[in-house]
Order: sequence, then C-alpha cells, then structure tokens
Amino acid sequence: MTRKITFMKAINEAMDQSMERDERVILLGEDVAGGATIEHLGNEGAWGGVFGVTKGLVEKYGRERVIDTPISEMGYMGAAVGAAATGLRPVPELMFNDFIGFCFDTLLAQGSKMRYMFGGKAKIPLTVRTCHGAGASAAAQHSGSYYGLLGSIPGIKVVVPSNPYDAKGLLNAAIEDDNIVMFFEDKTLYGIKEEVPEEYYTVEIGKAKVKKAGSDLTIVTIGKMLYVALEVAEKLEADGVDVEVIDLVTVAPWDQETIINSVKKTGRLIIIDEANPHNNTATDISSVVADKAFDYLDGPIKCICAPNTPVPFASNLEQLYIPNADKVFDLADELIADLKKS
Amino acid sequence: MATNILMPKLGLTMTEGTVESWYKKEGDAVKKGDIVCTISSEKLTHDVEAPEDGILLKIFVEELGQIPCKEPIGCIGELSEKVAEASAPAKEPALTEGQIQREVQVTASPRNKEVERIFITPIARKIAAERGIDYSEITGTGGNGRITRHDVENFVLTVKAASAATNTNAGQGLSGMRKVIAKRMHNSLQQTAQVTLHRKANVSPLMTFRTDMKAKLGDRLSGQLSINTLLARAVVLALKDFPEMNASYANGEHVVHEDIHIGMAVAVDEGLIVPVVKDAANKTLTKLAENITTLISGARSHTLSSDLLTGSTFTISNLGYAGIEYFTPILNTPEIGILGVGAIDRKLAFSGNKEIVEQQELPLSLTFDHQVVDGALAAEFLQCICTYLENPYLLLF
Repeated sequence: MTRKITFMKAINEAMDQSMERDERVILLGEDVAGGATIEHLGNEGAWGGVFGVTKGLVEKYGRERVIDTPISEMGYMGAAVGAAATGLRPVPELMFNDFIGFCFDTLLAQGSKMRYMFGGKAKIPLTVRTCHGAGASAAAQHSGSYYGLLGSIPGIKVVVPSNPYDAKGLLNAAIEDDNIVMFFEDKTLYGIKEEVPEEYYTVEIGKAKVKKAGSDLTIVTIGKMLYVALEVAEKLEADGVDVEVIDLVTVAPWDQETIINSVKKTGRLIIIDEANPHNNTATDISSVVADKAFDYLDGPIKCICAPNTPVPFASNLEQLYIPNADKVFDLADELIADLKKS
Repeated sequence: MATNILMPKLGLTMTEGTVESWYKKEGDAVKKGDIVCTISSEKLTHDVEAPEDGILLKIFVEELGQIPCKEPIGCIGELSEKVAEASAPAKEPALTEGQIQREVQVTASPRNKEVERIFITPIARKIAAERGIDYSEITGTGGNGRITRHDVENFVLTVKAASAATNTNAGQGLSGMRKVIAKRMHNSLQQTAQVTLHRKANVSPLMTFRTDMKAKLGDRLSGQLSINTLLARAVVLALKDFPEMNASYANGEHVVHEDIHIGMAVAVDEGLIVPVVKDAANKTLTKLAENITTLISGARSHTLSSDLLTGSTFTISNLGYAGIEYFTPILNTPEIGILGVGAIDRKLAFSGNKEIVEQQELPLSLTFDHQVVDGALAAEFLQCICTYLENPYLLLF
C-alpha cells in the first residue's frame, strides 16, 4: 500500500527492488558502499554515496554488486559501459553531473554508438544516476543542470523526475531499458515526501505528464521547475487565467505529442528550464513547437531559463540564478497581461 | 548629402500625419522655406517648408499617405545625388480611401504604430481567415499591440452588435480642415457617451461688474474684458473646484490633468479651430483677457503656431453672437467636458424683496462624457460655474 517516503528513499527503493528482481543489476561509483561490511570500519563509514542514496544496499546485496570505485569517473564509467555491453545492467552513480566531462568518451564516443555501429547486435542497458541543480550553495562545479547536453546525443535517453513517485517508477523503467538512460536527480528535491506505492512499478519514459489541465496558457517544466509553474498557475488562477502545467519528465526523447496538443489548445507556451539559456531543452521545445504548431500560436514562445553563467556560490546570487515565479511574470508578461483582462 | 523632409510632430499627442497634397513634383527646384506640401494631423493642417535649397529628389509618401511623425516624407538634394535607400521609410503605400475610413474607426487603438504593420498571431490570423474577417479592422490587445485569438473572437461579437455603427465614411469626399473636422466630430460621437445639461446664470451683477471694471481699469486693460474672458475665468475656477472635469478619456486611458488649458472654439472661413489658453489657472483676469484677444485674432488670421492649437483640457464654445440660446456642443475628444455659451437674454424677474427687476440671463450648455463622470457631478460643476458668474468678485481671486 502507499505511504509517504522521500524522493531519496524512492530512488533507493527502486534500486533495491530492481536488484532483487534481476541479479544482473549492479551499482558502482564513488562511496556507493562506503565503509559498510568492511570489518574494521563497521558501519561507521557506510555513507551510501555522497547523499546516502544507496545506503543499506551493500549490506543486502554484497560488495560484488555494490562496488566502490576509485575516484576516476572515466575509469568506472568505462567499466560500466563494458559491463552493459557484455550482459550486466549496471547503475553507475556520477556524483555530480558537472563531472560529465570525464565520461564523454565512454558515454558519447563509445556507449551511445555501440548499438548502431554493431548493427543492433550489442545492447547497452546502462542507467547512469547523477545529481544536478542549484539551490544547495554547492558552488559552480556541483550545481549545474546538464541534462540538455546529454539529451542532444542520439542513443541516450534522459529523464528528470520532479517527485518521489516518478523517481521510483522512472528509475525502474530506466534499469529495464536496453539503452543508455541518464537519470537526473535534483539534490534539492531529495527531502520532499509523497505517497509512493511499496510494490515495484514503472513510469513510462518519453511521456510527459499534465499536472494541471488548463485552457489559456501552457507551461512546460523540467524537474523542480514544476513547482515554479504551479505557483504561477495558482497566482494566475486568482486573475481568472487557466494555466495548463506539463511536467516534461523525459528530456530525451521528449513528448512532442502531449506538448503540441496542449499548445494547439491554449495557443500560448512558456517553458521553464533551469539549464543555461542557449541550445538547451527549452530552446529545442520552442523550435519544434514553432514549427509544428505554428498556426496555433497566439503569441511568442517564452523560455524562462537560468542566465548564461555558471551557478553562483553566494546563496543570494544563487537564488537569483534559479528561475522563479517573479521571473516568469516579468519575462512572459506579454503572454499573460491580456489574458488577465479578458 | 540629401536632406530628408520629415513629417512634423505638431503637439504632444500627434503620433502620425497624413500628406494632404504636394505643391512640388519630383525634380522641382525648391528654396529653403518654400512650402512643399500640406500635411494634416487629427487636429489640424500644416504647411511643410523645404529644409534646404535644392531639388525635390524623391517623394516617399504620396498624397493621402500616412506616416509616423519624424519619418521622412520626401528628400531634397543636388541632381547628381542618389536617394539613399536607407533614408526611405521601410514601406508606405499610399492608403486607399477604404483604409482611411478604417483608420477613423481604429484611432482608439493602442497599437504600435510601426509604419502600419499589423501584428497578429498565427492562430488569430487563421481564425480570421476561416471566418472571412478583415483583421485590419481589429484592435490588438496582446503584447506589442498584436491581435490575438481573443481579439478576433471578441471582434466577431462586437461586429454583430455594432454593425450599424461601423458604417463609417466620415471624411469621405472632403479634404483639408473639413475632413479633419469630419473625422474628429464623428469619432467624438462614436467613442463617448455624451450628455448635455442646460441651465441659465443670472449675469446682471456680472455685466455691472464688467462695466465698472472697464471704466476703472481704463488703459491698463490691454485685451478686451469680454464675456468670453469672464466665462473662461469662471470655468477655470470651477475646474479647480472639480478637478474630475479637467480630464481626458480615450484609448482606454483616463487622465485627470493637473494643469488647466482652455480651448476656445473659433469659427474661421474653412471651418473651426480651437486655440488654447495655456496654463489658464495661473493667469489673472487681465492677463487672461490679453491672452484670449491675441489668440482669437491670431486664429482668424491663421498666424497661430500649431502648439497653440493643441493640448486643451476643457473647451468653451460660444454661439451667443448669433442669438443661439441652448445647444448640444460635441466633445473635443479626448476631453470629457465642453461648455456651450448662448446669447444673453433680458427677462423680468422677482428680486430678493419681491420687486420686479430686469435680469440678464446667460444660457449655458454643458456636455460631458458619461463614461467617466455622472450627471450629479456634472450638474454640480455647472452650478459652480454659475456661482462664479453670479458672484463676479469671486473671479478676482
């Protein structure tokens, strides 16, 4: 039955249940086991990853399936791609998505191309868990949102859950998937609690979710930006503006059908993306909608993104960096103002 | 270097003008100061002078073409010079008669006047096409004044409701000042809810006061202490008491003005113009008299600068010279009030102690815009004007 658990616990539970269902599922990364099960350390050092997301799993599945690696992203990501190509279903943890540079050779040049270059004879059932997002005052090298970078690579799927229910179901689906899936966890969402079923389930990859139906204006969000959109929708409801809020859920391949149908209904689109503003998911959605739903548009498409800078460390500047409701009202005023009047 | 002839900006409210007629052709030699064409704005016509000696190389805006202020309408230079493409406005086809009529209808539009381009969203354009609506008649309310889906849908409704009223051909077949007046009067009646109140003021004490003043001031009075001057003063004082009446309302904008500028309607041969007594609240009775005398004679001799013909906040129209009593003046939009003045009539009346006396009565007609003020307030305002006229010593303060 359902009970409330945190975003972090939901992810832990997904790994636990996937490992239980399929012995080919292994975890690897820096400190994913920590000191656990090592006699002289006891459980003192059992961090379970830098945020403790994998906590408890090494005790249950042993060091053969929960593997601490040296601090070498290039090394263990290469091992993970090789293991996936040769029959396992690895779930490596990339501590922060800002470290993705080390992994591009294995993920971009090798992993993403193998299935294609080997004529479909190789499968790469790899799920890379990583954490992103500003708001924890973790400075520029630990706070970026780079799902868009990965989303532009053919052969890689990218999911960004916004809530515990989706996190668990998407991670299960990712592990079941025979392709590389990048699983992005926003570190500032780890603590949010929600009802999550105890049993194993999956959430479809590639399907956006309409979180609030509306008829006047569509807002598409990625990850925690959902909560910004819901705040905007609530404020506008008082002015009689009926907003449709769509959680993109999957950045690649993103759900064109759901978004285009929504824009055909409302004629107006705002996209909120915490990534930097150029060549990102928001700009991609914007260009596809401008092309495929041109005749339905009732105003310019507005992309509300972070500025074109690294994430500031100072928490006041960091708060300015993250898109919020005020920024939406400010930058998208011309899409909103006349709706209020009518 | 070729020099552009620009559409002048006559007064603060002018955003665009129409070229009425060109007196020179392309290729004609002109001298600096020669009148090359006449333009008109919503309020008046104006002759445009050549800014330099030279040849009129190119006419950018043909007769009846409209263009925003400060945009080039033509260019002057030496024969050998080429007209720089950049100096020409982006595009400005001469408007057809039909388009001009439409312009009358949409003058209330807050639309971005960027050289007549109409901004409309793709879906709005599609719906308009499906329903056979000419979207150039729609006022856009979206960002940048663009026409949205809602505007098209709302337009369908209003067209049905107001199909009779949209039959506008104001100004058609007329030219110059007559055309401007036609458009403005028609526009005034279309865009406002005009109501006229009538009442008379007992001006016997005012006439005595006037005779006294004239005798005593003698040469110190440089203008005429006319009934118009005394009226203007009474109106100014009443506007100070009722600032709501010193306002304008148009294009969805209601502004109560701080300064009081009184327009005085003056009939001239070609029609009617309204010179403006600027900052009338800060003028003494003698200053006002001087100012009004100059303005009216300037208006009749066409020597007033355009600045003195725009910017009024309240207008007075006097038809008393022709024996008219009451009438229904039309608002000088965007103003929300106009006072019509009739001829003084002599009547028998009872005085305070029940004796029969001769009384001079001045008929007054106040038209106001019921959209922004109600009858009660307008009535009190008119009563206030009468109070000042009936107690003329109040006019001194």
